[in-house]
Amino acid sequence: MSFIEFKNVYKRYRVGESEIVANRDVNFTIEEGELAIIVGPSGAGKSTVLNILGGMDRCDEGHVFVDGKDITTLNERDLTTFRRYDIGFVFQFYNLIPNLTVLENVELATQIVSVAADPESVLAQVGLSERLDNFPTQISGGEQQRVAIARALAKRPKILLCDEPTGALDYTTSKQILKLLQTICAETGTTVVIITHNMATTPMADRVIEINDAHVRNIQCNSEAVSVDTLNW
Amino acid sequence: MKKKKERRRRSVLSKDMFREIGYTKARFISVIFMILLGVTVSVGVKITSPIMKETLRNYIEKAQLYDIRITSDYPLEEDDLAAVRGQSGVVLAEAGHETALRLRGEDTDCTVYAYSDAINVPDVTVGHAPQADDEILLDDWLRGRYAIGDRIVLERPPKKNYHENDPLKRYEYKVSGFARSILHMDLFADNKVEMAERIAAPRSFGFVRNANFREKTFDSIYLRLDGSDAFAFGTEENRREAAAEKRDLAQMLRKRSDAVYAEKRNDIKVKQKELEEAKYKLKVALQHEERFQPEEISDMRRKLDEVQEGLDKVDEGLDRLFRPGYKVSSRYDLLPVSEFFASAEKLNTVADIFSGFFFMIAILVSLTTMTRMVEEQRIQIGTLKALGYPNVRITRKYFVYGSLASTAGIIGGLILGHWVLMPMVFSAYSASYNLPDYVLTFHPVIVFLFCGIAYLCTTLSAAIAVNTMLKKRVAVLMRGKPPKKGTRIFLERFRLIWRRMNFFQKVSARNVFRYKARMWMTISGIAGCTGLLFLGFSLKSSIISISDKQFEELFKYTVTVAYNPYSPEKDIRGLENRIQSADIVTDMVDVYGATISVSGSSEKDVSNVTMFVADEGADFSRFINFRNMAGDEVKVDENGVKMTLKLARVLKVETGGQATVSLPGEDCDFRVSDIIENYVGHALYLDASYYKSVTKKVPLHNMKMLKLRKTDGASLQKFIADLKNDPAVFAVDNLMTGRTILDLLASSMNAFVYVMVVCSILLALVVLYNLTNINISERVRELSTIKVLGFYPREITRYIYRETLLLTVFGQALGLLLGNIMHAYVVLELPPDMIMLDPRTYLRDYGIAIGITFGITLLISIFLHRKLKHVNMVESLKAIE
Repeated sequence: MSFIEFKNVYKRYRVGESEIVANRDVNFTIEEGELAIIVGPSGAGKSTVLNILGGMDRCDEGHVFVDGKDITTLNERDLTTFRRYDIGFVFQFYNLIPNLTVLENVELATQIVSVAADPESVLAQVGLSERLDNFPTQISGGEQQRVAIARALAKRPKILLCDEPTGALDYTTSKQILKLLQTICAETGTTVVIITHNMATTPMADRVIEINDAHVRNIQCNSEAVSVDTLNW
Repeated sequence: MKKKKERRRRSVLSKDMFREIGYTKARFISVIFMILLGVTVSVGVKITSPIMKETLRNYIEKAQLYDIRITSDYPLEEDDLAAVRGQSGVVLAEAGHETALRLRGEDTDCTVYAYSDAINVPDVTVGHAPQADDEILLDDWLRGRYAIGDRIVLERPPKKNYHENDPLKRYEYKVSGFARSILHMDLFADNKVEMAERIAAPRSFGFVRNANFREKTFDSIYLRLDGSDAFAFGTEENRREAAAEKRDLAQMLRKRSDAVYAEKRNDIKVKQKELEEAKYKLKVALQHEERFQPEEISDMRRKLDEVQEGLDKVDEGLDRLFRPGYKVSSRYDLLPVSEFFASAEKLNTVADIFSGFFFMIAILVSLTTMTRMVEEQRIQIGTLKALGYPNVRITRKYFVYGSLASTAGIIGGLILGHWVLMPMVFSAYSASYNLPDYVLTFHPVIVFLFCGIAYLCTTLSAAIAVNTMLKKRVAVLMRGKPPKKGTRIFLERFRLIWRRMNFFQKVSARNVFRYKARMWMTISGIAGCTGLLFLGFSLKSSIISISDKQFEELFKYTVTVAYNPYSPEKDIRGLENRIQSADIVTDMVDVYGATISVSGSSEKDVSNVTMFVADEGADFSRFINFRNMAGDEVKVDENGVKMTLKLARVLKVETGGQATVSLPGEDCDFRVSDIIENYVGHALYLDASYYKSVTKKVPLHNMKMLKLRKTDGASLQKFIADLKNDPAVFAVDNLMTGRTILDLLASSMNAFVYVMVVCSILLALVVLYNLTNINISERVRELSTIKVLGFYPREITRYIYRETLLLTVFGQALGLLLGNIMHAYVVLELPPDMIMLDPRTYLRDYGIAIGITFGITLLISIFLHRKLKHVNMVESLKAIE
């Protein structure tokens, strides 16, 4: 059994009178400890997959298995529990709490998870030891994203989900962030799933899932994943 | 070509304007509701006072209420009437016959008046005034018991007053109709303020034709003066005029009284002389009996007896002769009328506080809602500006939105204020009176003031917000509002406290101080609600507690019995013996009581003061607890008089100061040795020795204060009824019925308190609801983020609720402080003349105010919880569009 498995997943939205199919018969697997990239054009249904996987949304048909558990059968509370302990989420727009310092933002996550890591050491891991007492508005975009990653990591989740984490960042900073994610995946063994619409980054992943028009078009496994440093786009 | 395009553009913008209302129904409705609530309460409460005054004035005008009323302890005659008519300024002087009878089959006394269509005209509600001699117009209060055409029988009074025992020519009448009378405006008390006549049993009245009164003498003279204006009633000028006229007439009457006395005395003396002469002559003649025939002798002896009898009568007459005392009173001494006017004035002051407060909060909330709306639409506004729309067009949408909402709220508020709230408050204040229906008049100043402010605040705030925004460059607008920088709050400086707080407490503290405007609004809303709740409940307590204090702690006696001044000595002795031997009486004291007028250093004079003088050797303290305002017991002794608190305040008299008392015949200055705690009525207490030292007269006791054993209601009623029927008794005052009036006042206040409580709760609910909505919508990103992080629903609610709780505690503290201040002020200004409220506050009321406010926040938290559960994480965390 794969670590993550999407089986015949459908997701539909009703918009007024018409119906939009965001995911149509999506099937894929991801193994534990892999760095997977989900790639595709805008509106392909990538975010939908991530939202379902992260327990933020429910599918209409099909099953999703995470570490042996069928999360589609979970009720609201259990889904929240799943999200709490098993998932770490990183957004395109960081979504830090502006009223809390860097350290406090990470503490927000560690306060609710008993097995959490020490916030300061996680922040050291992402290289932000100097910024512990700054507020989000006082640090750069890249640093904010690193805080977000630290926040997600501090929970010691099974899976780290990143929805276009570099979308708002410049080239150099983007590379830094992707490098960080790759390092985390390798060093902590956390399964990392990244969404992007930049095909050029796919070589860094162990597995590339192409989604187009609500359906998985292609799944490719890289036996030799490449370091981000070597990539250019 | 250009015009066509512009027309199309205009209509699209208009479409957006109206769609906006549809999309944000909740916001639109909340603005309407806020304005509606504010206008309803502020306008409704504020117009009640002038409407009360107008209704009263109309009633005075319609009833042609007397300007002056003259009564006397002697029956009044035509000569008196003529003398008064002759005074300058008197336009009309009428004799007022009246007599107190009993309605057979009822337990009520019925005062029967002679009907007049010129003065004190009764307000007929059903039927018509008496047209035939056997018709009677009855008190409207009896409408349920009798029908037009019914025959009623009046019973002759059992005791002597200055009429013969047969004041009317007939005692059986046919009911011709029902009416209300301004002389009996209060439902439960007799407004004839004779000494100790504070009877509070329901008293009814009837009007019959003048011809039915047997005697040529009468009880009152009613005057109408030149320039009498019902619609000036209550003004300072009118009051002064009335006081001046009273004084003039009192002076004239005093002179007349002296003259009449002298004349009568003279007459009697002349008669006496005649008779003495006759007696002497006869005696001399009888000494020479031999000169006369036996028949002549017996004849002379008979004559001598007659003459002697005549002399005895003359002696008795001389004995009985006293200077008639006249009492002059004006409209303002008609208690229920002046009380009602006074309560209208009190209401005005309370209304200002209450409605001002309320209104302010309502406006603030609408203001915030509108500016919020503009903030949220920042990007839209920027887009329109980029497209080239003129500022005016862009502003118009928000101006119209605000206009429509506030107009709807204003119209609704005016309707509810005039037709729902005002009648409620009016009926609360007029519950213990029998008044004609209120006259709904328009008060443009009040209406336009409140409505104007409401409208302008709502529309201008939006317009100004948009305009300020439009001043910025388009690019700036499109970028969206930069999130507020996070900053350390000052509380963090206090390391000791900050370290002690747990993580989430710190988070909440930061959040609370971040959104300062919302913070102050929440605190104000809570403070307002708590303050008003506290005011309402503590007012209620202040009213209720005086009943207990006065009738349980201060007054220790139950009944006063006033003697009939016309009863012969032996009857009085008999009565005293009966009382002494009555089993139900446990203690008694002899007192001289009188109703007097008192004035102090200020111009005011108070005319309904009761003076109690303890007999030589008698001790009041068993009957009344005399406590000065520091709480110490004081004794009534030869050092001066004890004055009740409210009277002292009204007259501005201090301990040790002087009070001028106008006793029948003269004015005396008394020294006030103590001011005592008292909540009902005005009184002076003194002992015989002090009275003697000032007036040089010995007070003759004319009443008794009695302590009764605790017994069943029936025995008590029988005892009192027996007393009332005793011919030697003038009046019986059962203090328990005095308590009833107070309880009635308390219950009429209840209605007002409930209104206040309900409005305060509504205010808090709407304010909190609004602010919570704004809170959530502004922080939806933050909330979605923590939801994603895996916070359970209850944790998310607690995240926000912790802030609300903190603000609630602050708001409550502030509210209780404000409530205390308002309470102190209202307690002083609100009560009618004769009543003082307990200025103390009680723990229970603090508890209730806090409890209810907490309850409201809990209620809101439930709503908050539901709303938070429905926050869509996915939508909220998407890119800023």
